[in-house]
Amino acid sequence: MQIKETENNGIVMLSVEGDIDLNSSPQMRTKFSELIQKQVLKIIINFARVDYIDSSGLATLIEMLQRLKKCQGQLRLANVSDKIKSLFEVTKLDKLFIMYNSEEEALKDF
Amino acid sequence: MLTFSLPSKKESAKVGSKKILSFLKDFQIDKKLLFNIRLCCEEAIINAVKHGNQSKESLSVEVALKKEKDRIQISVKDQGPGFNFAAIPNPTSEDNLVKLSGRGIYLIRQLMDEVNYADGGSRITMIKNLEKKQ
Repeated sequence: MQIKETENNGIVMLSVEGDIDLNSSPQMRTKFSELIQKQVLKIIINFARVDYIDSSGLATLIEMLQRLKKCQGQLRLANVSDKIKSLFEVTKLDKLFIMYNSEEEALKDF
Repeated sequence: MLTFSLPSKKESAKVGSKKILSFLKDFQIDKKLLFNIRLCCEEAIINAVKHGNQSKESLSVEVALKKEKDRIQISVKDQGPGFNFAAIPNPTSEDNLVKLSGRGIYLIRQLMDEVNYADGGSRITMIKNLEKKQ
């Protein structure tokens, strides 16, 4: 998994490429810890190049959302494919996460 | 029919799902269905490695896939004592929504058409009915 980080007016966009799963979750967790340490509290994860997520990846996202909420931060997801969106729906995690059709929409709504 | 054995390490989930998808590639199976089959296989193998075999690499996970005309049957067997799948709380209930575990089995149950447990819970058999490709 590769994570590209871009910043726009205090909002950090993490463009992830690859699978978010048991193997790559530690890398996501480390990236989030770095951002929270730097007081970055508005984060968008761009899913445009994510083809696969497993239950461990979903758990990692929940963990990151909770950590951000504790610091009054916000996490948004953009460009989530229909396949992956359906997993959020099946697990009812669409109630927890705000998803946008594009990174521009996610940025605009912060 | 495809059968293979995997060591109990976390990388085995990907190795297993690749073998399964490679076996299924010549059949006309919808991409979303293949995505769900991959997910369920990886979840079942991860459970077998972590919870069944307690990540002891010397213990193996046995996988068997049977492709029939209108359905696919996949079984994953570990060497652990088994566990009670029914005791896993529903991760979609309000109280459990932010819990970090218990979603793998739930996803398998939701995405497969039939799920059975045998050998005290150390073997899971998942069945997916096939629809004709649009």
